[in-house]
Amino acid sequence: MNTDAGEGRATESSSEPQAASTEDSRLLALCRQGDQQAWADLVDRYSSYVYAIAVRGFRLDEHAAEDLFQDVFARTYERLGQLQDSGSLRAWIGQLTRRLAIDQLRARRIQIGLQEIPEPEAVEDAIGDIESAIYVRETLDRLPGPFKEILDRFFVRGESYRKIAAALDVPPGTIASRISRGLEKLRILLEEEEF
Amino acid sequence: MAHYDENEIAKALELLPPAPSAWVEAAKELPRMRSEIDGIVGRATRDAAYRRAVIKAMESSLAETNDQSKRRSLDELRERLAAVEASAKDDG
Repeated sequence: MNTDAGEGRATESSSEPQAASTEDSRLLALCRQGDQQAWADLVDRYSSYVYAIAVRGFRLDEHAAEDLFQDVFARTYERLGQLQDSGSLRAWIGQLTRRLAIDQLRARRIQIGLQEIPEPEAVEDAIGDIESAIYVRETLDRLPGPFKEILDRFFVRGESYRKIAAALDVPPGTIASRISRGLEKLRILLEEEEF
Repeated sequence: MAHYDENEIAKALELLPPAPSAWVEAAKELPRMRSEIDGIVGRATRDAAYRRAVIKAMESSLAETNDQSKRRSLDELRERLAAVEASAKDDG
């Protein structure tokens, strides 16, 4: 694993949808102007990605994962002026998260001697799954609102049929069929996007 | 054309749980927090009495707080004030 990823460059990922890069560029430009809402949007956009790499990729405990999470966003904020507009912010944040996670695991191993550094292959496999999931998640954002919301609530947030039904003010019996229709629409959209 | 299985799509969505909201909110507060620290450090650089009062209050807060986000901000403030202290001693 290359842990020496440059912190000043963001490189384009050929598999990334162009829309994602465009949105990254827009957010970066606004953040550089001191737009705090743009920064909040950027944090929202990448929070689950960084969190997933920490807890699913590197299997950090809660405390270590929080340290890593805050460190990644602090460094991203400090380097806003150096990031290239045309590149993929996600690729840059992913590399930064990997590098800081490894640094943190090494430091903790020296300090307390407990936590082993996961095998690089296992980490890369897990992060590969996360990257694919990000693509599915971004495509989910393009579904019509009601389907997007119901899939987000059920699969991403882990809410029960009953809770979703109450929130959306629909009978609980309709939730399963809406999830099924939402998945079907998402599958079609994913296949169209990759064509 | 790639083919997707709906079970795989469901698993992919489950793989990205939201980060804890307190973590996300703390990260969003970063610009405001940095700006406040810059203001405190700026004044502490010019005003030795203010600096001593801030250091005392900060150490007290650090000893009392269990809030990791607050502790992180205080640690950053302490580090920057220590640099100001060291610089003031060199000058004095």
